[in-house]
Order: sequence, then C-alpha cells, then structure tokens
Amino acid sequence: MSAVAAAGGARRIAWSRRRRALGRALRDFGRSPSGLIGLGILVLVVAFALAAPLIANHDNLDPSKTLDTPLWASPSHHPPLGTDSEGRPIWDQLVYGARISLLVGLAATFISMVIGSAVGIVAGFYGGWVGSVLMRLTEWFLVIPFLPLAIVLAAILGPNVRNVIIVIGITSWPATARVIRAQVLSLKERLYVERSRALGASNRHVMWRHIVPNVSPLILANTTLTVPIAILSESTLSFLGLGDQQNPSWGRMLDEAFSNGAIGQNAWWWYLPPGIGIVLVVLGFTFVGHALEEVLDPRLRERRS
Amino acid sequence: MTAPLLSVRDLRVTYRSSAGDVPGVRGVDFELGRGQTLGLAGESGCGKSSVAGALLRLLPPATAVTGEVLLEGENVLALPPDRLRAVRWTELAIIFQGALHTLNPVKRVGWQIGEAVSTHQPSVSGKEVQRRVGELLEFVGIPARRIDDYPHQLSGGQRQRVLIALALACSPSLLIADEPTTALDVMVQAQVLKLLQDLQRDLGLAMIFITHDLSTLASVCQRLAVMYAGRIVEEGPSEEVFEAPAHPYTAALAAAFPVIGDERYRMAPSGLGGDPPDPRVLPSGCSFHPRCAVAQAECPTVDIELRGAGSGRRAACVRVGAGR
Amino acid sequence: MSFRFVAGKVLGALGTLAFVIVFNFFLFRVVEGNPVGVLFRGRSLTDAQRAALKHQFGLDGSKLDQFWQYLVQLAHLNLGRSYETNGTVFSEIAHAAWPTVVLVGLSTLLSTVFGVWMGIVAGWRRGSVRDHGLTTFTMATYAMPDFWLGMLLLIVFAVILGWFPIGGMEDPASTATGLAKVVEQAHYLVLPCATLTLAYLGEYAIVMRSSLIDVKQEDYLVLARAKGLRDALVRRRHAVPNALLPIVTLIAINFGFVLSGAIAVESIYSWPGLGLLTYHAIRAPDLPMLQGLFLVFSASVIFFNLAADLAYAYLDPRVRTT
Repeated sequence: MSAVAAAGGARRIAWSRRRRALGRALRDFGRSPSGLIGLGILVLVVAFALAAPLIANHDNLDPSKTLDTPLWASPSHHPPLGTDSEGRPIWDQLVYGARISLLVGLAATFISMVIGSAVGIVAGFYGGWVGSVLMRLTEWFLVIPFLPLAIVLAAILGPNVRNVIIVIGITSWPATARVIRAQVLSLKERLYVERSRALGASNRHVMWRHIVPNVSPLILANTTLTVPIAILSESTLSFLGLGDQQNPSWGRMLDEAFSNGAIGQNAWWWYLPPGIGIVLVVLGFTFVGHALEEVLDPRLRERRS
Repeated sequence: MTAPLLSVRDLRVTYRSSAGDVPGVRGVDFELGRGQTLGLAGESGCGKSSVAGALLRLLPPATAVTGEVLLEGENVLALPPDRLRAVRWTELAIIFQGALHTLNPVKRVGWQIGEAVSTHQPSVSGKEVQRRVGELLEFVGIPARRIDDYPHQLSGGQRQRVLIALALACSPSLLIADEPTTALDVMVQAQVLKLLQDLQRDLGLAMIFITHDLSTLASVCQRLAVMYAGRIVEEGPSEEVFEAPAHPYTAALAAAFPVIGDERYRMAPSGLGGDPPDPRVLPSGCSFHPRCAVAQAECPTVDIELRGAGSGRRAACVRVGAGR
Repeated sequence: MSFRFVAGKVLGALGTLAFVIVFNFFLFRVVEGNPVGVLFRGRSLTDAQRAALKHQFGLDGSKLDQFWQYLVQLAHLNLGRSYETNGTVFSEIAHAAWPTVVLVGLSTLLSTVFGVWMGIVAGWRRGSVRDHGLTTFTMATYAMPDFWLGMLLLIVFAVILGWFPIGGMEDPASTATGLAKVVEQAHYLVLPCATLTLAYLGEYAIVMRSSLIDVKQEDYLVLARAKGLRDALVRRRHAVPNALLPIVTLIAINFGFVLSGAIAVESIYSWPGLGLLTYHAIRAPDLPMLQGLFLVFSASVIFFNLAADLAYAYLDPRVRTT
C-alpha cells in the first residue's frame, strides 16, 4: 500500500474511532438523569426565547409608547403575568428578556472561551518565558475581583448589550485559561506526543493534531459550565444599572421591580418570574455541564463509584 | 497441645457492588501457634490482603465477611464494637505497606505512634507516652529525635520502620506484615526483613507475612501458604513447599523468583502464561486449570479441596494424596 | 517556613498590586479617548470648564507626566474627588469601610463554619439523605443571583413576617448608645449577613464534602481504625484535618466573590458600606469614586490572598517544612 493510501487509511480509522467515541459519549450522557433534565430545561428556555415574536408583543416594550394597560395589575387582572409600575406587561418583558440573557450569556462565554483556550493552549504548549508571561497575566487577572472590574469597565464604556458582552468576556477568560493550560501540560507528558516529535512532527502539527482534539472535550464541558456564570454576571450588572437601557433583561426587570417598590406593593408577579427564569437557565446549563464532564472525563466517572 | 493463638475457619469475604457480588476470599482455613511464622503468598488479587483486612474487620462496610476468626479463643468476627476496638492493636497489629499515605501526612510520626498507646492505656501520662515512643523508635533503628518529624520528611525505609514501631506499640502477640518490603529498594528490603526477623525472634511474636515474593518467605517463615483465586492451594513447611511444591501453581510461583546463584534457575524456563482469573467469572472446576501445565481430564469439572500431601502438608490438586 | 518563601509570596502580592495600579491608570486615561467627556457624560461643559477640569485631573500633560502625577497622588492616598458628594474619594471610602468589613467578615466566618460542618455531615455518609439534601440546597443557592436571594429573604422576613427591618444599619429615630446601639445594629445586620452567608455556604459544603470523600479513601484512615480508634475520633483527628486544607484555599478564592456579592447585598438592604457606595457611584455615574473603589477592592483581595497563602503554608506541614 502506498504511503498516501496508508495515511488516508489511518485518518479514516481515526475518524471512525472518533465517531464511535461520540456515540458512546452520547449514550453515557443519556444515562445521566440530571444531564437529561438540564437538557430538557435548556430546550424549553431556548424555544421560549426563540418563539418570542410569536408569543409576545414587542411593541409593549417600546418606552416611547404609552399603553392603556392598568398599572400594577396582577395576573388575574391582566393575564398572563400582570403589569409593572408603568403598565408594561411582565410576560412580554420576560420573553424578550430571555433572549437578552441567553444572548449575553452565550456570546460572552464564547469570547471568554476563545481567549481563555488560546491563552491556555499556547501557555501550556510552548512553556518557557511565553508560558510564564501568559500565566503571570492570568494570575493577575484572576486576583482582581470580577464585579468591581466589570463595573468600572461598563461604566467607562457605557451601558449597552455589546459592552456587557465584552466586559463579561474579557473578565472571565482567566479561569478557563488556567484549567486548559493544566490539561495541556499533562497531555504534553503523554507518550504519543513524544513519539510524534521523535518522528519529526512540527510543533504546529503536534498542537493541532494531538493537543487540540484532546483538549476539546474539556473545553466543551468548561464552556457549558461558564455560561451560567456569564448569565449570573449579566443579571448582576443589569441589576446594578449597567446593562442595556433599551431592552429588557431579567436582571434589569429585577432592578426596576426593586427600585419601583414592587416589594412594598406585593407585586410578586414582577419580582418572581425573572428570578425563577435565571435559576432555571443556570441549573439547566450546570446540569448539562456536569453530565458532560462526567461523560468526557473517565477519571471522574471512576471516582463516582 | 495448647490451643493455637489464631485459628481461621472457613473465612469468606465477598465484596458487594452495584454490579453484583465479587468473591474475594472463598473459604480459607489455617492455624497459627504462639511464636510461629506463616507466610501467605500469591499474585495480586488472590485475596491475601483481604484475609489480612478481614482478621481485624477492617474491610469497607460493603463487604460480607463470614466464618470464624478465633484469636486467643475469641471470635473476632462476632465481637461487639468496643471489645473489637480493645482487641485491635493489643492482640493483633498490622504492619502496612509503607507508602506515603499510610501514615497521616499532617500529624507527626511520634504523635501517631503515641496515639496507639494512649488509646489503649489512657491513664499513661503524656511524658511516659513520649518516652515509650522514643524507645520504640530506637528499637526499630530510628533515632528518637525524629519523633517530631512528619511522614514526608522520612525516607521510604524509615517510614516502614515507623510502621513497625507503631505495630509494636501495644505489645501484640501476633503481627501481620502486609507487603512490608514491596515498595522499597532492594538494599532497604534486606534491612527491613532482617529487622522483622530479629524482632520476631527476640520478642517471640507470631507473624503472618504477606507477599507475592515466594523466595523471601521461604527464608523468613516456618510455614508457607500459597493462595490462588481466593483459596489456599498449598500449605506446609516453607522449605519443603519451596523446594518440592505439590501444587503446579506453587511450582510456577517459585520458578518466577529465581534465587541468584542457584544452578537450577539458570536455563529453566520460568514464568506462567495467562492472567489470574477475574473473581467474577471464575473457571469451572479447579480454578487454576486454564493455566496449568499438568491439567488432567477431570480438572475442569472437579473443584478440589485441600488434601493431605505428606506430613503437615496440604495441597488442592488432584495429583496429590490418594490417587497419585 | 523559610524567610525566602514568605518574601517570595509578599513580593508576588506587591507585584500584582503594582499591576493593578498601572491597570487602573490605563483604564481611566487610555481606554476612553475622552476621559473628561466620560466623566461628565450628560453634562454640558464650556471649553473653559473643560480645560480647567483637564488640568485638575492632570490630563493636559504627556502620558508619562500623567502617570507620575497619578502615582504621587496615590502615595498621598489622594484618590480624587467624588463628583457626587463634596468629599474626597478617600474619606468616603474610609467612612464606608467598617460596615462592609463587619458584614463580609461575619458572613465569611458563618459560611465557612456552617459550610464545613454540612460538608462533613454529607461527605462522611455519602449517598445518604443528608448528602442529597445538601447537593440540592447548594444547587438552589448557587443558581440564584445573590441580589435576588436578598430580595426574597427581605420579602419573607422583613415584609411578610416583620421580624427584621427593611434596610439601613440603624434606626434613625433611636437614641441608643453603647451596647444597646450595637445590639440595634446587629438586628439590622441579620438579614444582609444571612443573605451573604447563604449565598456562599453551599460552595464550602461541597468542597468540604468532596475533600472528605477523597480523604476517606486514604490508607491512614484504615490504620487509624486498626489502632482501635472510635469512628468519631478517626473522623475528627485524622480525616477532618486533612480535608480542611482545601477549604483554606477556597476561602481565599471566594473572598473576591464575597466582596462582589456584598455590592449587590448592600444595595438591597441599604447597608451603608462600600457596596452601597458603589451602587450610588454607578447610578451617578461617579467615575473617580468607582476607580477608587476598584483599587480598594482589588488591594483587599490581593492582601487577603497573601494572608491565606501564608496561612495554608503554615497549616500544611508538607509545605511548612520544606
């Protein structure tokens, strides 16, 4: 068999091995009750958010429009979820708010993961002074408390969705970088990397062919667990008044509820649903993330028994 | 004849797991008199460490232990909790393998030895405990000033000696040494072995020595018992068992640890093919038959018990005893 | 613990602090091209006013000059002037520091103590009802934003049940002094402290639990049992001291988050500490105040981490004796 054909055969084997591993992973995931519950929650919430134009009325959220809806109406007076102090229906805010919360959570996580993974892989793989400098930088950012930094950045950049995404993204990458780097370091010790080197493979080849595929499952699990943190961060920033002022988000709903005295007015339909929404989404991603971790990291599975 | 110090009858250990029950020890009998030494040999997984753990009921809660363990006439397996705790260490002590985490890493070694003393003799003053601990350390060849060291500050050999000192703390009559030299360098192994032999002789201790290295046992112990798949397959005076094994497994095990300088090992093929059987799926009949070089027709079907193979010797092989 | 080790850690902390100081400078001066515009967003200024302000904030020199001036000001603890109040940033912060120290200190203590206890209970008997109960509780509190948890507690205990006041640190109408005053303030402290404690309790419990589970598999526990010790003694003398070590690290890691949580919690309860100060500064926006607060928060976390590092090194004999 020619060398080219042999190489093609080897790649085919590698891919079929990966497909089988994927199948095994999916089956293992299916065996985890919490993972499935989490997945179910997420599917519902995403469907909820995507269906916004169908199930909610965006016009009701326009601050320039005046509505003829009653103020502080309870759900029995104005289904399905009553109105706020300005007569805006809570339901519409909740549905569209889901979009913002999910959008910010996912986008910020994406940025954070890209930066964090890049730093982690490069620092772990190349080591030396590049690695040291990167890790120093990471350590510094890790020590700085997240919220004060996010507050200062958001205050300077101005409160809108794009800036919130940026702020959360660039303040949460260090944790990921550290985890990824540790994994890369341990992978580097593995024999097949040495063998690959001995065969004369270039650094880039080793990095892309060996390190990245093996680190990817960890990145995936880590990503899923970072999303809830981003969502909680967004809700906190919005609550403090640093979120987008045009569009509702769950955090902002809670801020308005609190500032306008919903507590005193007993307007539970205003301050309960957004909080419950946040809790559900966070739980959903956390359950799925933990299930993924157990499925993808065999060591964790052993420890369970 | 005086009653033996330790009498083990039909000891069975079953590990319970969500995947079903796994038999670790499948009916072990032996006796040990005062001051006698018994070696327990076998590959990993044969059940020898389970036997050691079972004697003091130290196995995890999800383990079923049945049978009788008569220690000074009391059945350890039936003792109420406080009597069990009183018996532990004062009558029977275990010298564990001296890995780094066998000792508590955040407590000083002197304190850990002293804890054994003060647990069983609470009225002894702190100063007196210190003095005794110092004595014990010197006894095993460690300078008393190391009493305040932490385990990680000692070498492997020193840690093993600390474990020996600890085992002697309450003057037990029976010591179990569970792979005491396995993790050590060869030179240190020899030192520790010599220490154990001297102690046993000087203090008149009964000892059960557990290891996978048959050749060590042959020189250190009076009697030898070989375990395979949870049972004793051969037992007898160690020299005899080593020189002229009755069970094919013993022969293979002996051959696997050649004695350097002994002519017989020069060109003889040694080593045993295959792996020890998975305790969850044991072979039918005699559990050794798949790897046995001299298996007979009935071996896959007939499960053989230990039978007499000469004076003071037993072996679980169809070729032994009547019908040879 | 060698002098070299301690010196190394201290130098590391100082290095991080230096980074934060430089970073702080860049945040304000460099990130936004028009700092005066950002500072006074929404207020119209004449050119003369703008020039005067630029001079006041030292923005009319070269970047290097500005940086030097910034460092000099810092050394004199001059963090600028708050735009909102008439005081200096430093005095406002100094005034608001004590209530936050009390709140954060007490809640950290309580979360640690209760969290560790719950973790031991859950981890010693794994898979039991207590264990599952703990996991559920932790999941629930982790998923709730701390300000929402605060709102819920406020509603239940202050509004509905009326057991505790709705906000503030003391009764504006009371004339109590001395011990009676302290008791009164403690009454106001209960809800904010409970919120902050509950928010982080679960994490300590989970870490202690998994640490204990790890330790339970260790051989030295078998040895302890073999020596004839009672189960409770094995747990107390051998398992727990080893399992506690990661908690020290966790306290350090958590400190930054607890401080952040204090911002939200103080806002909900109008607890007059640094968090409430931050909340008002955001609303204004009062950038010099926010910057000063950022520095103070960061410096606290850095030094707290240093203390925890050294404490850990002292507690773990394996680190102490190298």
